[in-house]
Amino acid sequence: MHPRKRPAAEPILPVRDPKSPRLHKIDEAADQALSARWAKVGREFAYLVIDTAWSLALLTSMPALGSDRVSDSMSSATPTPRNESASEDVHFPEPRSNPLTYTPPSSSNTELPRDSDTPTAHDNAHDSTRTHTDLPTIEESPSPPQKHFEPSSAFASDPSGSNASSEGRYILSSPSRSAEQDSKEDALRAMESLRLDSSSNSLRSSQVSDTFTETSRDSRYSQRSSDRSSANPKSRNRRREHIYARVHDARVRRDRKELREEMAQELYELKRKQGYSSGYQDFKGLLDYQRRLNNLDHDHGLLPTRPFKFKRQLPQTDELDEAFLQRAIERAKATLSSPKPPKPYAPTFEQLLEFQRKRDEAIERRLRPPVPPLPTSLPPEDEQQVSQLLRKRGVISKFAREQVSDQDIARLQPGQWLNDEIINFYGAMILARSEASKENPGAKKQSSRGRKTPLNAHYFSSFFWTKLTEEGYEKGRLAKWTKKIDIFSKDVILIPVNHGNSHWTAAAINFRQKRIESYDSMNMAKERVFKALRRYVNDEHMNKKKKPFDFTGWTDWAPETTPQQENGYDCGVFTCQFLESLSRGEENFNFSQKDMRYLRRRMIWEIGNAKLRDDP
Amino acid sequence: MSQEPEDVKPKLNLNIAFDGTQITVKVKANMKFAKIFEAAEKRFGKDPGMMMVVLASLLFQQLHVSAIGTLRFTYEGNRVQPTQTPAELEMEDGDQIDAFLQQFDL
Repeated sequence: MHPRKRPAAEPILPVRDPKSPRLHKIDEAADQALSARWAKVGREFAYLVIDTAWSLALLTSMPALGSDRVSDSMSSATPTPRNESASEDVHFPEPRSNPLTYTPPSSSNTELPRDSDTPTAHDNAHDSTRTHTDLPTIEESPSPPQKHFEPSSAFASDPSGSNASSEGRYILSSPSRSAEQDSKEDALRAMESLRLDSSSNSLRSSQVSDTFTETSRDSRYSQRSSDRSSANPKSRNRRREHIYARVHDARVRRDRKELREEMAQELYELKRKQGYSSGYQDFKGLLDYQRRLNNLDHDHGLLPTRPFKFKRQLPQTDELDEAFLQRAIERAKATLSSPKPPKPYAPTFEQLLEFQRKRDEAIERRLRPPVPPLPTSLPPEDEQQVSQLLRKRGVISKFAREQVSDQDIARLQPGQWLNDEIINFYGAMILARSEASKENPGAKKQSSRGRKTPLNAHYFSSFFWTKLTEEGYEKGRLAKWTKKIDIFSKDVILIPVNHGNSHWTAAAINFRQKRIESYDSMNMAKERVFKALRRYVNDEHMNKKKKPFDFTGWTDWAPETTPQQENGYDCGVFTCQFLESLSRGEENFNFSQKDMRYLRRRMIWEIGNAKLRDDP
Repeated sequence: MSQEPEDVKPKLNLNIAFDGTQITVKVKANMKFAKIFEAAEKRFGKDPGMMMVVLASLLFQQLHVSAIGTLRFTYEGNRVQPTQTPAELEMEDGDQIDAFLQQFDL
């Protein structure tokens, strides 16, 4: 700095000289203005720091809560001037003589009880001290009494506002109020003083400025009225902070916050049970919005979100929140205990899977109806007939060109091997049934209750396979076997296969499904069957149609689910039953080893009566 | 026999095939197959190797069965019963009858 500039600063010094007479009337106003400005600067700085801290802490961590508080501070700020003015109106006749101070209309007096009823009102005195800068904005709100503030200068409104904090404290306890209000406001006042102290003492500069204003105020009060000066020491004592006040305050605030958080959580859980599906943050936003709508009666209306610079944490919003949350929780619990309204159907993944599975099962059932298990025995009279057949000697039964003797039918008793007579007799019956159903479709439908209708099947006797494999198509003259039939017009060709005079299996040429099929109750080599039958089909086609057979789309079919025998003598029965089922187009065989005893008895009956049974 | 029936009922030459060997029998159209089968079984039975096979199978089965009924005769895939006649089956000269041993399972 230029050295020549120094003297220029000195003339200002006397103005700030503390030794200059402060109680001088003219200087008093200047001092007051100065001190008030300093106080303002200090407070603003303190609030700036606090606000910054709060906004940082809340906006970053929980934005929903932050916005919540903004609106709270907003709603609570509006009634402030009214309360202040009312208190002045009631208890201070003196300011009326002052032309600069505000004289409120009597209507504001009647409004007071309602305002103090709301939890927001208790902090008004505090608000008035710190919202000097806010005042212009508040005055713009539509409430009529606040309009009167506008003509007053900033200088005049300043002391009246700062007075209100100290004055309101003891004035509120005046006997003109009801006892209930008194007790309430006592508690609120205590809290408010704590907050005021904490906020004012948060910075040393603000504290200094506070003392400045207080002293100046005190002097002014003493000049104004004697009764108020007596109250001043009291207020000054109160202003002094208890040593644990800040700790206590912080704890109270923290506990409140936790409580609020807990309640919000509880409510959130309750709502989740009722079907609320969004996240917790969304839920908090919803709560805030609900509360704001709920408080429309108390506030002036649903106000837009405050600008950032007014965002301030107002402790009374906690209480409001708690009361609101408590109500909301009670409501939610009542809703839970009451009969639930129909919820929109929102299936879970498991439910969807279950649904899919059930639908698949239904389709499966429709496609392949479950076959009822076979009975364990024939009807009593038929059982008797079977016993008689077994006692019979000589030729038991004749059917077409087949006949069965007692020696053959004795093989159907348990544990015996079946011979070609039985197999071919049974095959002849299958063939006859198929032809009968072809000739008389009406009877077929009537007879086949629950069972599939017999296909247009052809049955080759058990010697067909021997011929085919031992002599071949040409040498075995197999072309003559189909002199009267066209196998390519049939649905299925059924062939009992005797493997080396030791094992019976069933084979089929399925023209409907385009499959060469082999059903073996021992699940043995079937490649030979497929190979031989393919060659036979081709040779037959060459013989009858004079061109090779088109095997496009044909597959070999030997299902894993073929019932298996569990002993060394039942394969003939299995083979007969395979052939019988195949002639009906049945692919799910409904018999197994445990049914063999019944099936043997049944075959005796069927052969003895030369008639296939329709019942399962 | 007189000559007239020969004219009215001409004899048929039927081939009976069994296990790769073939015999020819000259039969009347109205002759029952029982007689033909008996002759065929005798013929096949004279073959010692064949008898061995038949006996072995019989012994193995431990069943005493007469030679008749051991063989199965089929014509064009259909079983031929001893009571039938070639005329019933509309057999022609040179037709083949297939003979099979009794088939068992395991």
